Amino acid sequence: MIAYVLGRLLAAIPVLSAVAAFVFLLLSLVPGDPAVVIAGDLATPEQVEAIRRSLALDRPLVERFVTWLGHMLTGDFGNSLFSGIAVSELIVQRIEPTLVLALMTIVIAVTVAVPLGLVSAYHPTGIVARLTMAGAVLGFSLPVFVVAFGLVYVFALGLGWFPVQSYVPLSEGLAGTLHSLVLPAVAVSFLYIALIARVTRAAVLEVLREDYVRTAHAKGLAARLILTRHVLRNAAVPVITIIGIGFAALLGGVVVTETVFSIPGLGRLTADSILRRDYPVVQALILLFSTVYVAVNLAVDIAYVLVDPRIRY
Amino acid sequence: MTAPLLKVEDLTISLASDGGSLPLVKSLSFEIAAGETLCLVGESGCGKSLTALAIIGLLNRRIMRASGGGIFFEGRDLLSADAEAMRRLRGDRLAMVFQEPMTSLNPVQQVGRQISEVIVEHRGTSEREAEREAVRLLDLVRIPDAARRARDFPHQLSGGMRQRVMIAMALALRPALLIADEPTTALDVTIQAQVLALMDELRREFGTALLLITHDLGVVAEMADRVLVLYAGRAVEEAPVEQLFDQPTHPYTRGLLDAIRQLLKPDIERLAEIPGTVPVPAKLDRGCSFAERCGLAMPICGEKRPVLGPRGSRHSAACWLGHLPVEQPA
Repeated sequence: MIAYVLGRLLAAIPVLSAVAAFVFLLLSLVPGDPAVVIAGDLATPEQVEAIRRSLALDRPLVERFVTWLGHMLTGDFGNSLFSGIAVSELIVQRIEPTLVLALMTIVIAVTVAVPLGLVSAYHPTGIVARLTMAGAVLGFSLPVFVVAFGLVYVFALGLGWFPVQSYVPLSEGLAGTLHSLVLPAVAVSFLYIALIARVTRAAVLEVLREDYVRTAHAKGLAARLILTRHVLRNAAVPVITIIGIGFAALLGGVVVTETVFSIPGLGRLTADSILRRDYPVVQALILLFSTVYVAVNLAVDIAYVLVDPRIRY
Repeated sequence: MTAPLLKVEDLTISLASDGGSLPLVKSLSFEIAAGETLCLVGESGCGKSLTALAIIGLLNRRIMRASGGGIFFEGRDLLSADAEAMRRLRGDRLAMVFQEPMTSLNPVQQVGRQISEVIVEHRGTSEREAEREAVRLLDLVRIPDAARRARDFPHQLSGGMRQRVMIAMALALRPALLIADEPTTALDVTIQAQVLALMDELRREFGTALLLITHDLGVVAEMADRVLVLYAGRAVEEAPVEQLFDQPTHPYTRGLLDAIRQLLKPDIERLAEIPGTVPVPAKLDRGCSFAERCGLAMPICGEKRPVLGPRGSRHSAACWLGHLPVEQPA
């Protein structure tokens, strides 16, 4: 198991190297002279030259790449072109809200979706199944900003239970943070509830046809026990996969939600940096998201081994 | 005489399809006494497994309907029992071993746990106590090094061992009736005899009656006290095992026996076979179901269905041969 994890970590090196190379080339792939692009429309030739030298753009490509990679490995991601703040510091500032929001969303989604999927599969013609499947279509098709504004209208403006916008950092207490993120987390979780409920239902339907489920019934076990102990664990692999992918996607993809609720997270940092052509920040973010995907994939594969003893690496 | 342990009365099992219902098992009646072994014999699709599932209450309720006189087990009617009452009986008084040991065990649960959970469920004993009992049972079904093997997962055991685990699980609470549906069909021939002998030995020790479903007449000769032959959902012959082998009266039973007897002769060129195939359930229901394939068919066989009639003290068959009706068919 340890050997497997180490092997997987080693295998991540080529993946991340390829991403790094792409991220580095991003700057060179930008049409025209990156220094001119970075300097903007009103820059004087001297300013452009200064930027070029500061970015070492006058050096050969390979030399630049090696230098850049060295900086990356030592955690030096450069400074933001827009604010001048170190990129690593910017990311650290912004990662907390995104991480908490993603975790909260996944917890809400799994808590709601897995039981719904389980019940929908066990009573495929029942009321829960019908509502879940209809709700899933709604969850897939309603854009997150519509859900978000709807929730704000009812629960923030109408009932006043939650703030309309703003984020309370963890340093001011966990309860405040969670309270400030309830509406955004619920808004984003709609899609994930739909996704996870559908995948759970499909996986459970398949397992329910298995001989060992009939054996469990022949043993006279209670239905609840059969579903949790025998069915759910056997249906876990696809469900864990979708949860893992969902979590990784959440870390990089909550731009709209963060914008609607004015949460200073990574999603907004990404969107703002792209619009400002703040290349060092964009590069670092892409690398970060790739690393997250690699890590989540590894975590998912390790989870497979834990739920299914037949899977060995 | 005491009441039989199991009394199946006029049981009909139908497939509920869109167009109506299609009977697959038709007015079947039989009894099993406490401690007795009854073999249910017949070819694929004749309704053996459906009958077993109906008794233990595991028919797929969405598509199958069991109806008729009743299934009386230890004095109560299982056909009219509610789901919770059936659940309490299953695994406790009434247990079942299935055909496929490879897929009948939960792949992600340790085998010891799969045995102990039955004990915990029905007896409410502590997990630890139930686990000790599970190890004892594994030892009883001759799993070597039972304490360690109890922590194995099914894929770490051979087919024969898995089926012995199934048997341990089924017999864990010393049920009054064990239903075994082709329990050795999926196993190597060399293992089959071992597993059957083990099952029979434990069953005798526990005083458990056995309803054994098989199409293997060799197994029947070895295990049965009595035999019930099914054809196309109906009982065609019922007899104590020696009588059935010595004096089979129904042409279908004779056909089955001829087929295996010839196997024992070294110089046969072609196996004796019963011509034709089992009729589709939808089309027949006039006369004897076997008439089309029967070499001894008479005009009446296509007209009127023979009912089970006596052929000896405990022997009966459903055939017009030797049982011609007094009045002529209409």
